[in-house]
Amino acid sequence: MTQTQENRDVRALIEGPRIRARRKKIVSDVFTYVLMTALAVVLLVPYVYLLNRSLMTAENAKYSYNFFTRDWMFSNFATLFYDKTAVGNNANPRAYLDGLKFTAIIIGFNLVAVPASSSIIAYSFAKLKWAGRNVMFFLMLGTMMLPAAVTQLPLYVMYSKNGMFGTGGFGWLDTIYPFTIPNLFGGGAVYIFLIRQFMLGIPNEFDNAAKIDGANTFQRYLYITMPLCKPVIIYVMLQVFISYWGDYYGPMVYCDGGQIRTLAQIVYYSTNSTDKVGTIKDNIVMAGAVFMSVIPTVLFAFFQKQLIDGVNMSGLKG
Amino acid sequence: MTEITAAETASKKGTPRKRRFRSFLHKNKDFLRKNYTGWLFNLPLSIGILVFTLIPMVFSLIMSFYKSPQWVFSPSDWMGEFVGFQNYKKILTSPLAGFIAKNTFLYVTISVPLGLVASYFLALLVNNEKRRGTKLFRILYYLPCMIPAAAGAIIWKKLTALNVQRTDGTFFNGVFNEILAFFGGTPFRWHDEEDFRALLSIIFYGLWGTGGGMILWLSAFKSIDKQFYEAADIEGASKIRKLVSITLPMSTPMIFYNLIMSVIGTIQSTAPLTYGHDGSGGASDALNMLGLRIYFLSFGGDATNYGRATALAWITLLIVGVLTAILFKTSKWVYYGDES
Repeated sequence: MTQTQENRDVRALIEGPRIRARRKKIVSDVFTYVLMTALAVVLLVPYVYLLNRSLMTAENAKYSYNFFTRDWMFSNFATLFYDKTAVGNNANPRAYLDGLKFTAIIIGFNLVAVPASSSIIAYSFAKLKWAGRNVMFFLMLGTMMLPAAVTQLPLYVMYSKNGMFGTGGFGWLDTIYPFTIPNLFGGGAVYIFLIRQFMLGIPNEFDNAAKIDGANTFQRYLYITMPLCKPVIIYVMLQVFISYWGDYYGPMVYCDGGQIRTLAQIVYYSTNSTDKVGTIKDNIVMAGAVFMSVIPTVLFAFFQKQLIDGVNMSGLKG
Repeated sequence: MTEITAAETASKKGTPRKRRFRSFLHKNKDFLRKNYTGWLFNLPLSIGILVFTLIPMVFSLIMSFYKSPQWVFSPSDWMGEFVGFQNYKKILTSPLAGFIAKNTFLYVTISVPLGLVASYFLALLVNNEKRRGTKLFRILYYLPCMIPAAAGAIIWKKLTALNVQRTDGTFFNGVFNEILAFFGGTPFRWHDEEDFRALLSIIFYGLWGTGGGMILWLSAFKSIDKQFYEAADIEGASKIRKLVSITLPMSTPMIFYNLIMSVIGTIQSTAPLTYGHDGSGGASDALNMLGLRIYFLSFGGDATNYGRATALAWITLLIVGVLTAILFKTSKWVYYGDES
């Protein structure tokens, strides 16, 4: 009797706090879930609105009071890629599809070019010792902080047919070159910095062993260091995709002539101009926006871990 | 052995100048051998910075001292007469300067802290990966910031529409104004207002992009050593206590980085561009700000004025430089670990 009483006392002593802790955890879990759900609902209001508009008729998408669609026009997504009714003003029934084509070309090029060029530069910062390394590194960090507004107009003049002094320029306006060729020369200070951070974390023993085996610097970069950098390279590729996928501003500045429209640009123009798309159709614009937002989100869903793990900012010191 | 003789015979040939260069190479062979690989690997960056950053910067500075011709037929027609600092003077004394300075200042000082705090909070909320559904919520928060900027603008235009006339003559109000009216408020034109409310509306819409900033915070949280939390748990520290004493100080490097980057990004923001007006700054210039003005002066059709656009860009650079310097000087609160 006393034995069991004692047992019970001991158990109460041990489990009392545990039960209290569990209860506390349940309360905090419920609170967190409620908060998370409430925030999700609020943040998704414009998105749900967008989704519903993309399924309305053009007339309803423009003027309807209703938050939710009653038309269920799934055909809008087919119209997005082939619009038979596009007439007048330079109309192109495949305006969005063409936009997708240019976006795909730009992204396809950069998915290779940016990781390749920024990793080779990062390698020189992380694994090679050379005079002037620190100077170049700080110069690079400086470009990160330089407002793009300073270079955008001179670059525009440089890229034009006649160039800075009217004696000949790059002739890059209305081509995809402004979004591809510069990336062969660095591809972005942030990416170089992040890859460098990652490479610094790789022990030098691998490099030294390969050196003894007679591998030259380029071989060591390509066969020893690069395979180990896969996580950060995936991160860079994802960021490249997301940033070029949604960029309307760059193409708007450098490709204003109309020969080339990226997808983001065509979505931007078709909200207030009839050029290419014939007439402004709000439902189609919304369908385009849904299409544009779904793809990066799917990527995010699949590569969440890489996107979060890819960043290592330690070492960015003042 | 053969190398030295080759170099010696070589140095005997040629003019004295060439000979001197060869002996320089010879003496510095070690130096060159040690450094050329590094420079070779770094060459793309050197070219890139030179061609796409330094030359445009110098060119921009030159342009800012020239008066642009009345009519620009080709981008190369930028060079009118040399006017010294007149472009700068005109910008600073123009009646727009006040609007632009005020709006840019308010936009930066409100939206940067708001955005940082909101996304930090959001990231804290979805930081615990062991909690079921956390990853799903991250996706849901990320979704709205992936809406293309232009499409985002038409959504907000519709949600905040006021008295838009339909084809049949009836009027149409957006959902937000309906809600406002329902709770007894006065519907208004949000970003189309002529006062401060326009700017506040843009900042308010920007909150829906909070999910984008969440990711960098999550990586900062992830790189914090778990041992700190374990030690705190043993001591019986509360959640708030752990946040204040561990998470916050340990994420200060990321706070600092995000602060600098978002100040630089926001100060040259062209966000109001998507709300119509073709970059002219909205009703009564209520939305006019630095980045938008530079865009308008650079590519705004008849309003194009390259001299003033580049001058304004250099003023922006100056402001950014001063702000960054101040932020770095006052960065004692940033914690970089014990070893530094």
